[in-house]
Amino acid sequence: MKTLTKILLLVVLFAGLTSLAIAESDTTQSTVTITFSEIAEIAASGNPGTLTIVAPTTPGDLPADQSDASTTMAWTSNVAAGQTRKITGSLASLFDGIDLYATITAASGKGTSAGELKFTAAATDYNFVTGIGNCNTSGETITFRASVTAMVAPYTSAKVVTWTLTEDAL
Amino acid sequence: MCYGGICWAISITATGNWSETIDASDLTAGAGSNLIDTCQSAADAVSIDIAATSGNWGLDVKKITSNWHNNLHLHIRRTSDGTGSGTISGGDSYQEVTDIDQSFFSGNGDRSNVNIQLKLTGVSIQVPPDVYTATVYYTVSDQ
Repeated sequence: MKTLTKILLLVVLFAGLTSLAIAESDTTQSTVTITFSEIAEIAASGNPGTLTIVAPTTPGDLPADQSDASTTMAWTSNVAAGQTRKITGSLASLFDGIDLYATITAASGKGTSAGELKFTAAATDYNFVTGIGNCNTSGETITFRASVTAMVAPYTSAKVVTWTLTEDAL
Repeated sequence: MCYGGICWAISITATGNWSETIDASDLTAGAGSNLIDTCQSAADAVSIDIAATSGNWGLDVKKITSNWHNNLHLHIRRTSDGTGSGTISGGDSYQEVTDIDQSFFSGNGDRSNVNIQLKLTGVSIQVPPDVYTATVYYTVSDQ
């Protein structure tokens, strides 16, 4: 009987009010999640021109060095805080009697060029650009230089240079 | 909404979230290029229901971020009127969602399935790889 009394009392209480607002506002939510993946993209514009070794102008000299700067490199990289990337180059196999050198330029803020490096050993990575952070760049010049070290029988040979954008050692 | 002098509280429900992954496929022109500056959700990424209204109401929006990058800016707009007995107006152009409540749109009476679209600007390769999260709060108030 006591319970019934309380219920009736509440009904009377509500009925006696002209207006009863429980709340004037309400809030809900949704979530936005944006995932930035790691990006490491690199591309060379193509193959350099043929480096043709010609006879020296002065008998007794070795043939002069030959260079090509007709190709460019582009890269886009983002890395986690505190990390950087580098561009390595590797020559699949060495030329007979010729040392091959290469240079990749790096504009300000796009990494640090190591300058000209020699492919001393075959299938070995050399660090041409280091300290690449969150950046993108294109049109960075690749320069190849062929330097004759010893006279060998004339030949024509194509070698593959592989450029890789990879993590710098921490 | 009132019956016999008793008013129910105005209520709002949001259904849906937006998840987006930015990767190499979002580069504008492959290696050497930057990321697209802007990405946006589907037009109906979030659907909002507003019920138990007692007349005019206004909806405010804000965001609270748990991990965010200063380059990123979140924008929001209403892409549909929804359905219902009431009316709705405003909010159909993108506006930036900030960390404080700002008026989004307003109306009168109950509305259901009001579609919301979100847009992110400031996307670039300068933003380090990570997962960035913002909780968007929608607050409806009697006016």
